[in-house]
Amino acid sequence: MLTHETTEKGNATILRFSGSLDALTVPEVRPAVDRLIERGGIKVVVDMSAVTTIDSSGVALIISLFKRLGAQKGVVRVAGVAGQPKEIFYFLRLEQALALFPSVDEALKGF
Amino acid sequence: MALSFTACVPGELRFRDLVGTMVREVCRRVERDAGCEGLEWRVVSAYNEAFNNIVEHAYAAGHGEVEVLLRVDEATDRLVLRLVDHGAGFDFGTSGAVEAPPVDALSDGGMGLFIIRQSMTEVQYERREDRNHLTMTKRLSECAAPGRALHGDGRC
Repeated sequence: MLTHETTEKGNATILRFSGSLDALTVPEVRPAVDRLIERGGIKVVVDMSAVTTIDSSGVALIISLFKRLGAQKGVVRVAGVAGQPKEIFYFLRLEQALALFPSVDEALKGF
Repeated sequence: MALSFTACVPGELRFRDLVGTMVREVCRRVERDAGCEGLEWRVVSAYNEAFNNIVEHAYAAGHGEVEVLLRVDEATDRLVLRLVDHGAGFDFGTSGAVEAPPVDALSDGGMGLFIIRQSMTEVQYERREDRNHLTMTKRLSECAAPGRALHGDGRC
């Protein structure tokens, strides 16, 4: 099960996921991600602090947001990755490609 | 202690967590009894990716069942997780990166097999009697004692 919410804080959009971000749930949240991408060059913080499990489909969604928004001069920061998702990010060396922050507050600094 | 179960579910994503919950609970129990940690994350990650691959690739052109066998044996220091389907086969030897692929090259399929290989000690694929047998083994002694840092060499 996955829930998501989008909030605005300052000049940034915060996309918060809660639950399992996987092959079963990604289709449910893809429209919300696509709407963010359609807005173009915006700053997005993906709050992963409540994501309990992620799989390759969930990672692909984050990568897609990062690449497609980046191509429109947007910026994506990822916050609060922990537990199993942190390990998957570590396996895939995503810390070398994505801007990872321990918390949303940290991610918003200087954004 | 030896513990095992087998289950058979339709090869559809909505049934993945039905068995996944059992896999998770067994791993939690082993973690607790054996005093290790990290087993659950790795085995569940491998299970999810293996099930996803069956649904998305083996059964892409049709439907079928997925048989799941999990066996834990502390005497042999092994957790064995096997998924069997009778969908389309694939070239396991050339599928999925062995090294972490660059972000630009990340794709669902290759990423899934890479995660399986990273999560487990040994992974074997066989095409036998028109069935795909994916056998994933984890050595229990690889799991860190509680309190030890998980990250360092990528192993628990």
